Amino acid sequence: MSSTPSGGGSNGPAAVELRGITKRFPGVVANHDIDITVAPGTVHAIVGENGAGKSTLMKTLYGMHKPDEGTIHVKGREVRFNSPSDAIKNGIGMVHQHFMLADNLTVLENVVLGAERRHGIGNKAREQIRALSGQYGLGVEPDRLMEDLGVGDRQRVEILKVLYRGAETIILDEPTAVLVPQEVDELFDNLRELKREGLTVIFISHKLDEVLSVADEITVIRRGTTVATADPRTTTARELATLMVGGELPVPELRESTVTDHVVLSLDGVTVTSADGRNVVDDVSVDIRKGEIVGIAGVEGNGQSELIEAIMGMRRVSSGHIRLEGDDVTSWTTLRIREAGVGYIPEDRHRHGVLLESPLWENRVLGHQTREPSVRGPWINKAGARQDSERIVAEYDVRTPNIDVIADALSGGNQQKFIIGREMSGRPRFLVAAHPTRGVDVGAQSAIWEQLREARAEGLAVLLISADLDELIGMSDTLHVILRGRLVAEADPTDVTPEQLGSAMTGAGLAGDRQSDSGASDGTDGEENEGGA
Amino acid sequence: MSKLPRPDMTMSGPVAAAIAVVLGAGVTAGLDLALLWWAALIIAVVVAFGFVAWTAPLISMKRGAGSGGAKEEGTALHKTLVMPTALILAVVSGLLSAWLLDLQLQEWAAALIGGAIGAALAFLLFHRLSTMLALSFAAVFAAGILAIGVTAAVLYFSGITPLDTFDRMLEYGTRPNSMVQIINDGITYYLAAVAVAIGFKMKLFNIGVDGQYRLAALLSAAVGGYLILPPVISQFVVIVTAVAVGGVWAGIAGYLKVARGVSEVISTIMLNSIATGITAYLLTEGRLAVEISTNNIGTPPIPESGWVPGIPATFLGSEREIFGLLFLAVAVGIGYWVMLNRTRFGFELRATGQSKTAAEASGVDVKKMVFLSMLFSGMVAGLVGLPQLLGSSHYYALDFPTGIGFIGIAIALLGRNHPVGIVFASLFWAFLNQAAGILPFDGIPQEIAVIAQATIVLTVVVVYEVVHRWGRRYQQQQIGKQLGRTTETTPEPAAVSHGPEHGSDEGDDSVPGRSKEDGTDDKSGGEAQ
Amino acid sequence: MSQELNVMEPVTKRRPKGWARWRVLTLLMAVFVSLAGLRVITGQDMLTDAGTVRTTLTFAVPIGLAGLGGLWAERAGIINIGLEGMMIFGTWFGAYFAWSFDNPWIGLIAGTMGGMLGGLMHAVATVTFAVDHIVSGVAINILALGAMRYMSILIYSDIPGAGAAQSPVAPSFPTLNVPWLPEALAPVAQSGIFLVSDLASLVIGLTTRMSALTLIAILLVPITYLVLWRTTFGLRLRSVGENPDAAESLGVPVYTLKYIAVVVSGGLAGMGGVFLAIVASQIYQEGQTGGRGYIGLAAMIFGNWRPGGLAMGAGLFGYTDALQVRGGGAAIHALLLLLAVVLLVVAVWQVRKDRKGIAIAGFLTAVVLLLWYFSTDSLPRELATYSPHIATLLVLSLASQRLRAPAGVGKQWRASRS
Repeated sequence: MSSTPSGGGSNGPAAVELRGITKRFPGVVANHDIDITVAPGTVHAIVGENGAGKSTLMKTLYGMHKPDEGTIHVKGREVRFNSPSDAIKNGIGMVHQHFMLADNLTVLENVVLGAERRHGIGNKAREQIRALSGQYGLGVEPDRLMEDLGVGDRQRVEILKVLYRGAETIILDEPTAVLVPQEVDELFDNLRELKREGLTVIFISHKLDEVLSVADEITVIRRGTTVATADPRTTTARELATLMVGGELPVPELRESTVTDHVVLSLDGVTVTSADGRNVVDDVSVDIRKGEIVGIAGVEGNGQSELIEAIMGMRRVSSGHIRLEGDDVTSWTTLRIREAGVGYIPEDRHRHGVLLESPLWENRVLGHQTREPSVRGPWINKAGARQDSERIVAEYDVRTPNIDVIADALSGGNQQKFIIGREMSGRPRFLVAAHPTRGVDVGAQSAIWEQLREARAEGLAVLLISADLDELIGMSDTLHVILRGRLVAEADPTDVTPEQLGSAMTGAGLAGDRQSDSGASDGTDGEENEGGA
Repeated sequence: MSKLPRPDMTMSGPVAAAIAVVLGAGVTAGLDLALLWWAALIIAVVVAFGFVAWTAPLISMKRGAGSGGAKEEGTALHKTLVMPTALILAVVSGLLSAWLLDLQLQEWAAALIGGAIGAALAFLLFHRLSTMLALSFAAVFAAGILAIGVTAAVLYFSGITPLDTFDRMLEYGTRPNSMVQIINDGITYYLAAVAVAIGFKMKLFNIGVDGQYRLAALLSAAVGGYLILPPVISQFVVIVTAVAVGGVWAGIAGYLKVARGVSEVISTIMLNSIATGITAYLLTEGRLAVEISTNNIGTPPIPESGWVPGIPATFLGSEREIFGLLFLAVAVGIGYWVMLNRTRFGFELRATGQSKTAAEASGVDVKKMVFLSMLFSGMVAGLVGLPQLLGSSHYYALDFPTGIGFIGIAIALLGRNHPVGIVFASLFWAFLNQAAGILPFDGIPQEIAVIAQATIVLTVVVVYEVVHRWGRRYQQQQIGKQLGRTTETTPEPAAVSHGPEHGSDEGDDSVPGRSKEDGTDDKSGGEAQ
Repeated sequence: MSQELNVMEPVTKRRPKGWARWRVLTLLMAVFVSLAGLRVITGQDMLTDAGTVRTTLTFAVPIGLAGLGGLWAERAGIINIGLEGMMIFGTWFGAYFAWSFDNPWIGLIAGTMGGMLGGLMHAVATVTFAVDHIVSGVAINILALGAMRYMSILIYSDIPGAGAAQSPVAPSFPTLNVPWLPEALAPVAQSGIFLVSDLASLVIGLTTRMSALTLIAILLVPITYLVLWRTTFGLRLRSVGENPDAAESLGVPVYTLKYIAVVVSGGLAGMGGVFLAIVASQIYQEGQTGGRGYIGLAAMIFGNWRPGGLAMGAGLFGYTDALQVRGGGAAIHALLLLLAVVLLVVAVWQVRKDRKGIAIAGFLTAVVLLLWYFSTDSLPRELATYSPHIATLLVLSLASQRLRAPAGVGKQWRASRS
């Protein structure tokens, strides 16, 4: 981990200064008394756990809200932003965590949108984009259609967007969320380049080791307020973690093995072909045993989602077989697979896990609408569903006033806990867990890990897909790496490091040496391999 | 209320209710001697309501229905919104019951019972009316007042006095024969609206109810007219034919949607026109039709053994009859409610309507659901023409009523797709139509009713959306307060659908639910639910 | 919005290079040649004569204008089912003002503004209040019908020749004629030579008796393309329909653009109504619109949300409509043959793509159509009247899979800033 040489001077007025920023929303105080000073020509990191108030703060800085109290100074002058255009005029640009790009438009159209006055929308703009791309080493081509671009390229387009608008201060909101360690290094090289050119970078993250490697200064936010400023050269990740949560970040510990010999789910040469002919899941074979958690690590877009959908019967398997304790379930419908005792914790709970506008007890029925206790014959058993929901709420510590509340009113962590409780009901024999603790606060995260471990001890077989390498290493009994739809490496969770995993995830192999099928040498990152679905 | 001194005791629910009812009846009877019956009733119900409110803290009742989830009584919203709404509903119900009873009983008896009913409802609603339900009623009230205002304005600017018009309409619409007509029309509208609502619950827009019912009516009338069958069997066969035809016609649109992705909005509309063409083709002499009278051709009349007898409406004071198929409509309504709320199929239907992706992940076959939903919608649509066919005209001719499908859509919107709401909406719509019939005799265009109808649909739709969204926000705030969190939330908690994103869920999480930040969601507001 | 089903094949959207760029033109030419051939084979001169060409235009214009209206709205993310109602506003206001001022141009302005009024209502409901788009559209259609009838009763009851369901006669637009060409070509058109005489008829049809409004409508197609794809305003509008959050984050005034788009959409529909009232007939008549608002939407979908494709779609529907009016059942009957041949070709093509199922279905249908053609002389009158609707259904069924709507269409969007 190289530390960055401090770029342009820390002399002159602060690039950005936030004083006493407070922002309230109905019922909640998101930020209070935030004080941050960002020196020009530096990379300044803002860290805090999920829900600490970082994104709200950045939205305030970018003009998407107005602060209730406090002031913002840019280059020494006090400013008031009424909209992002004001922020842009003051040289502040934001690269959002969720990319704000229109798939059906070209790169050029996406970049010039809103800034057409600068260079028009035709050839002059094209020239400008090419020039900027070359100057900062971004490798972006103006006439490509946005939807053809992979994740890394999209991020670079977002960066180009802010540069095109003459940003001098760039805010990056959790930029490494979708990248793997090698790509993170590439991004950081880009950031160092920006710094060399005199720009200021504000970087929000909750990944401490990355922050320590690139930042010049770190501000820690906890529960909506700034609690400390740290110098990366003299601080350790542990100290930062303590500041962030007021305690240590939990890491799932390894326990005694509960793996048996009895195979519950067997994937045998499973191949899934996408609509444009590519194998998004390519000849995957793996066995998951009773009492075992098999983890699969991989950059998003390498076939994990499709693999899960294939197992759950939501996607057609082109060749190969999936066997559930002897039964060939390859062509079974989702309903039948669920009825056979397979639980599913979806990656995106709002799309696949809950009905946001239905009460909690109705959500208990979701996914279990053909089984007890929710159902008796063709009839919904309201009393049964309600009773069981109460049980889940109690057992899984779901914070909710009662079970008539609609799901949307609960926080994400509590929704996830309820989902897990529901999926574990009915004694499943196999559980598919996709990013089970994504976007969940620390407390709920430990609780969820504990529940999974308990279930494993009782004989549950689990397939765990996650982007949190610590989670994978800590929870899995067996760990595989998926790249471009194939399982390319198997690691021993007891002694593999996140760096090794990351390296395998991009095709460089566990030991860091290049493998023959890696296409990573041309500098492309983990693009999404699959066309529309 | 809290300022008045209370006895230090607990009262049980039923006792308080009984006292309230007695109060209501008694005060009505008493005041009736001095005032007009309706003034007496209003005062009585208000008094009963006051009593209920005063004794509320004394009652140890298990808090029941409030689906808002937050403890409701005592909050500001309860006082400003739920209580007045409950009061108004109680008074209105009391008045309506008394007025209906008046047709049969003596005035004082009707008023007395009306007062009792009003008081009972006061008790029930005070304790059981949830915020969300009150909001819905309030929304409809508000929309209604807006619509009346707009209609009055239109009348005024056309040079007609609004109040006189309303008066005339009210008077004509409440005559016994009018009321029978209203009920009969209402039955037809109800069926059409339920057909549409089944689709709406799945976020499908079956605009084709019109074509479905006409085709179904024509073909089933032909079957009934040409195929002479013994009594009960004949009616049965006619009904089954109608259901089948309606189902098939809607099924075409459903199939095209499922297999080819064709928007059902456009396909059903096209099918409507094609149905008109087919009907015109078949309804000519030499094919299915015969001459009925000088200017009219239609299918051969169904013999009397194939008719459905009407229900004499003497209790309303009229000599006309109510369609016997009223029972069918009631059965359909009950069936709709049961299906939706109590069956697994209904659950899957609603789930798919709310979130197709969540339904899919939970094992629902979405394509099958879409097809079945269109099918059922069409099957109910087939029934729409039957009350008229079997109860009144007995043949399908050039003058068979048209356009009911579109009315059904409007009524479903007004009634929020709720089986009971649609009842009120149907009756209301029919009332407007019927009452406006007198206006041309005064030189007033009767289309003012159409304007009123259309305006109220628009206003209900808008007001409901606004109120619903606000209510949800409020609810979330309440919950947030209750759970006492001081973590982050985002300002727009309403059901908003969001563009496709890379489903990363990281970011502000420990927050009262937001479907906007955390990944994708393709639901769209609470509208056609 | 309506339930979305994923029946789509992914469209690899590449800008067509080389000869493929002219594929639209090639397609049109292929169609024209087939029609010419059909005329010769069946002897149905109606298929391609000048009168049909003119009538096609007359019928295509309202559909095309409605379709353009739909396009403007949907490109900004708003579904406008209320086009029918906005067209009705256009017919009524257009006829009334044209008649009372004895000037068609005032009628045009009034009708367009009437449509814009409807658009404004829809915009308020869907943009400011985020009501479901289809619900709002349906409500506006109901309102338009009743309101215009009310107005007619109020205003026209005492006027001879008018009444609750129609207006008095309105003056028409000036018609344009190219001076020398039509007469010169007339003999060629009469000659009956395959393709040559058809081309001549085509030219004559396009250069005689074209209403001024028709010309304006035709011009609106390239104008729409230029505005939406070549200007800043157009880029912003389209971005609002593709990803309003992204647009908002870049400072694009999303609400304003949606409003503008929907109001313009209403205006275009209104203009279509004016055409119906003043050019296609000469009065306002209840029921005049006949579902064209919806057919316009179908044309828009058929055209893949692009003005050029939309015009083709409108042309297709206009043609079927023109044919059934001029030639009745007999002319449409001839189309059966064409349809059968097309299906045979499609079947062969699908065999090559190894899609046996569809190929067999296509082949069988072609056989059925051929049998039908040879065993009857013409289509029944009542069914022929609805051939545009049947055509719409067929076209949508066959084409729906390869289409791509703006990504953000139909979403009830709210700004994220408090």
